[in-house]
Amino acid sequence: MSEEVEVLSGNTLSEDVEKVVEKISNTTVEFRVPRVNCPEHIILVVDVCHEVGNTPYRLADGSKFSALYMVKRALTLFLQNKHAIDARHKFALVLLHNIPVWISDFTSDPQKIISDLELAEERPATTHCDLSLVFELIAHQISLPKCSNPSVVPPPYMYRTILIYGRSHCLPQFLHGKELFSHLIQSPHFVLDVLYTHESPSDNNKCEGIFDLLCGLDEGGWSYVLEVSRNATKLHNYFGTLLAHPFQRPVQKDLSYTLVPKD
Amino acid sequence: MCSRLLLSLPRLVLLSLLTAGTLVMPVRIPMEEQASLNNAPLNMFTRQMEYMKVNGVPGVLFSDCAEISKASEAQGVKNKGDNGEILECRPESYSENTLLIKLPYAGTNLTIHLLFNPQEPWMVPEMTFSDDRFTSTITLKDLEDQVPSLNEWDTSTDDILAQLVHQVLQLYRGYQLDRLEEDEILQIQYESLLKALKIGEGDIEVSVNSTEQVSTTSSFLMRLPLSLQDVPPVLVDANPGTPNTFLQVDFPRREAAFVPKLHLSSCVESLIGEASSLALPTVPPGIGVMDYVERIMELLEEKVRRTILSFETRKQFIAEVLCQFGCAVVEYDAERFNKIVVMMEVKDFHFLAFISLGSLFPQQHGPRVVLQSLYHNSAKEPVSKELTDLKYSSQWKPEEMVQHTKEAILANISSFQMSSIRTS
Repeated sequence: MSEEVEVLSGNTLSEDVEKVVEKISNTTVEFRVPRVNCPEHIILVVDVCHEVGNTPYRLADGSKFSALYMVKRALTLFLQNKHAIDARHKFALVLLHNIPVWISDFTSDPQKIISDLELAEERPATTHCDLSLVFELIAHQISLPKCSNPSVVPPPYMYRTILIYGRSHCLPQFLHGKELFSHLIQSPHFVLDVLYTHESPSDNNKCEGIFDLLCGLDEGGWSYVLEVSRNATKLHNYFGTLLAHPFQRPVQKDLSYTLVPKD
Repeated sequence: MCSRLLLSLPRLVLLSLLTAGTLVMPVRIPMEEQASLNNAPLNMFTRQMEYMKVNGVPGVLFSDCAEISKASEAQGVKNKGDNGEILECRPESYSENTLLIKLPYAGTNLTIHLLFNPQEPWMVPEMTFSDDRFTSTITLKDLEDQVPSLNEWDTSTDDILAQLVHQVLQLYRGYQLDRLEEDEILQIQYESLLKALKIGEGDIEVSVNSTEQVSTTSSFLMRLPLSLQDVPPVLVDANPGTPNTFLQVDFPRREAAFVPKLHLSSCVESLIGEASSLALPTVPPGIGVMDYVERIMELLEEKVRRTILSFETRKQFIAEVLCQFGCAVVEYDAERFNKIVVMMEVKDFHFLAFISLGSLFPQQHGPRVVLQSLYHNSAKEPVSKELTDLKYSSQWKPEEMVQHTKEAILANISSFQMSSIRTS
């Protein structure tokens, strides 16, 4: 039973594997930080606006649920799974209406965020969405780790903001400048991901333009920017995609999950 | 200074009589309480005690177990008078002015009692020891020659207590080695150990007890030269502290077999397991200590080799998973390679696979695989299912192990999908 496994000498297997891993991971962007799974401090920014005429999610059994309800359900699974992956990860909750409000401070207990999220109610849509306020709020709440040599030394933790934007008629814009946003984004220890939930794109809404704007937030090529219409499975799948650690995950265009049986 | 020592010798002898058979129960006093005690010797030696806390107690192998305290206030002192009657004697302020320094040595303890003059607490203290025979064997000349800090007693220097302890221990060590010479068999065992292990005299403590006292044993305590240099630093750094491996060997009676006890520091235990879980081989009759210790070293070195092998194999396994599933990786343990989480899709059904390894991989068990839902949960956690039918052999290369893991996942996916819908 306790036979020894031959340790492959000469590192031939490891070298091949290394080459493949390099190829997969370093396609268009060079990694700025070592690929270490340091604890993440995740800021969930949840848009609670409900626009007039918003369609609900329709499930196979005929039941209907509002967009915010679906986001809460999928986010609950995200939080539980992320905590199961590594209990060191922390979460904070921001609700976005006309202004962003910091609801829960960082906690490694997903249940706390889930409870606070349950209490969040839909609010009527506003005419504008000021992203400057969102990043100003975040910049004031967090403290970026100081690292002497970020490309070599892993930080003690890193920040990820996941913006879950839900409006189909209101363009999110920087109405008060982008300085704080730029300051955050330039740090190798701050990553922004976006999940855009929207109506079916049509001439009656601005979904495509909004999506382009949100894609524009990915200045460095590190972000995941995902969009979903009223497909509940796809919404949950994308929260699965967002589970991936920013320092270890592939770039978005390389994502591929299909498990192919060996012929 | 010389005359003071001369004066103190009769007192030394008197005190040694007084403390014979004493039930000394040292009580640890927290630092904040010490500060409030007026004229207590502990008050004066805060810095010196701190020095030893930071720099370690010099000269003992188990320096973590050394203790400095003051004698309990509640005790009385009993002793036998010359004609055998029990006398009771309560020296005034005995406890207030006595520091006890308990030093672990060769499996037992040597306690140094320092008694300070309440009127002149800064003067050199009277000194006695828990080992009566040692107290009666050493002479004034021994103290003068080998414990010079008594001559140069200066309570303002931070390391005065450390120096005293070190010098006393050297004296004690010499005393024990002298006694060892009286026991030919033990002496031979001692010398052969030094030679075989290639350790210095400072790496072994000897406590020789008279064979007339059946209840006491002689002991050796030695630091084993277990090398951790090939162990990946990330595993060693996981636990703070010096990696120490000690073997204590007790000799209960001349004819009986010796009794071994292994002591490992927490750093070493985190690598090879707790000392209590490592089954030491039984001592065959007639075996020399040296030969037995060589067997122990082989056992420990084998454990270290297995720890290194496990780490290397885990690393290769994770690399292989990344190779096959790099575009689906969620997160992995990039330091100790104990875990990797991957997201997968089969016929539009997406799920997570948690693959855990651990220090008993690969020799004792294979990877542990848990499938977890992205869609269904209970109040506390997502629906999950652990795979129990994973084929495994420690002989396989990592590539084969990963292939079998993949096949096991594929075989279980439909039942997992069905059960997650039912469970949620």
